[in-house]
Amino acid sequence: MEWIDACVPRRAGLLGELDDVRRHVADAALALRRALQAEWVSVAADGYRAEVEQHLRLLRSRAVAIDALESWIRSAETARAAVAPERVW
Amino acid sequence: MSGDRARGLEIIGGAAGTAARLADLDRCAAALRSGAASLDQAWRALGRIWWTLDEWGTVRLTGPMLPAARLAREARAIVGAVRSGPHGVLALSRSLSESADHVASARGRYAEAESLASKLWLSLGPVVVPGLWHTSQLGFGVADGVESTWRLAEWDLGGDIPADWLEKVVDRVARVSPVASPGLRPLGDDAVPWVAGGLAGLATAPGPREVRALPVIGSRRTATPPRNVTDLVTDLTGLTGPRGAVVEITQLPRADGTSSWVVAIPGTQDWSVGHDDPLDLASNLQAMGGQTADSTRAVLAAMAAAGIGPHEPVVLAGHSQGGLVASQIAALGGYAVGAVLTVGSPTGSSATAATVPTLSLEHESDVVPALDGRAPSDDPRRTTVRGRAPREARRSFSRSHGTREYAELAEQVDASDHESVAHWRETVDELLGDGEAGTTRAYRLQRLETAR
Repeated sequence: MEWIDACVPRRAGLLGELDDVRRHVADAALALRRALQAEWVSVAADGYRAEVEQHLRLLRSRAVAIDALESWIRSAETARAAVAPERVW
Repeated sequence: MSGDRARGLEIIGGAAGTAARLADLDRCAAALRSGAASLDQAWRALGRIWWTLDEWGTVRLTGPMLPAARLAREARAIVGAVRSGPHGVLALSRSLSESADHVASARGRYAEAESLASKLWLSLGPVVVPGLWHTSQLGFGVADGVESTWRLAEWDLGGDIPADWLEKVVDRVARVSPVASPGLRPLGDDAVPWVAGGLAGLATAPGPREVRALPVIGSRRTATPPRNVTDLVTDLTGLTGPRGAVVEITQLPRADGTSSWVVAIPGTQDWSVGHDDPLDLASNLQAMGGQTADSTRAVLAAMAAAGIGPHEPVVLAGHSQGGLVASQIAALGGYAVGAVLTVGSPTGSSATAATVPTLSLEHESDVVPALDGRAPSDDPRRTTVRGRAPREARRSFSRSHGTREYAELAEQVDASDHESVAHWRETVDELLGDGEAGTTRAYRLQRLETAR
């Protein structure tokens, strides 16, 4: 199961902030799925459904981008941790 | 739906009614706004990451920290794009908010149209035609009197008496009833339950009355499951006549070992009070007055005798008083009633509000559904279909109310593709499953004389 459809645990540091981002995006995805389940009986319902499904597709593509952030942030954190602060200041 | 109009059907409420549409639109808009709010929070969390990386990337560094700072700056650029780029989280949040605004705007237009319709009705109310009619003791205006004369003349010439006019008459009569309105107590806009409840108190002895349901020997037969509204109304047709207070309960076995059930409840069998038939006038008054009717308790006894489990799906179909009983049983709980069909029943008052998906059939010339004194409301749980009785039945009060005549309206309903009707049909299909055959058994309802 992708994290966008699941409960996201939180880590420490900057990766923990990224976990928060994931949690909020997962909440947004849940809200969009709720919006799709609302039984809107109308001639305009098909258009509405297509629009919400498009939002959901975009959100899933953002999830992929957020996953890509993970490696960038991890690299930045690792590189910073490798250099002890006392050697800089 | 245009085919419905051509057939003379007026369909009010249900899953496609205005109230349902407004509630759906509210839910959709709320879900989209909730999604936008979550993305706003994601945008803020990304901001915290961006500021940290910015700090790591811009700090004055020398020597060994230089590669780390460069990495931080690159990561910051990526975070910035995901956060606020043209396809970023912020843009998506704004897009969701715009969608929510569109939905809310559509909701506003629906509500405005409804409000305009209400204002038009109110403005038509005080029309006065002077000097022709005096029925002030019934609370009628002069225009009402003229309308009454006109309607009766139309009926005498073979026309219909529209149900909306009858509802108005019943409501006005109820408002001035001394039973309902001792002194000058205002009754709000739903006077009939007050009157019915008061009359029920006068017609019945105080205290609980014992009722029972006995299986009719030899009544067990194999039955095919009802597959449409016509089948359900036809089942009710078989209960009218000299059989007295008899309900039929059909058990439809399911693959998982449980059963679905259909309970067919006839209308009033005894138009007096104080006898052993619980489907009588007193029960009518009790049900319309919001009290648990003796007939309702007797049908519950029959359901218990049939062995209906508390979690097994039940469809209730009732004609006339049977429809009131069905509505009461659905509201009382205790059984998993999933759908109700009422045929020619006065179920429009607050005392018999629909609690499960309910389909109500009414003939324009049938006076009984008008006895609630209320026009059918746009209720998402209740779909009301009003149509014309067969031509030869329109001038007969009894035939306009008859189940055989309602079976023709049921056929028209089965041919309808209106969303509200389709939604009710789908609910019943889901409840009954696709079993091939079941067993029907009749139960005679009795009020015990000794308890009176």
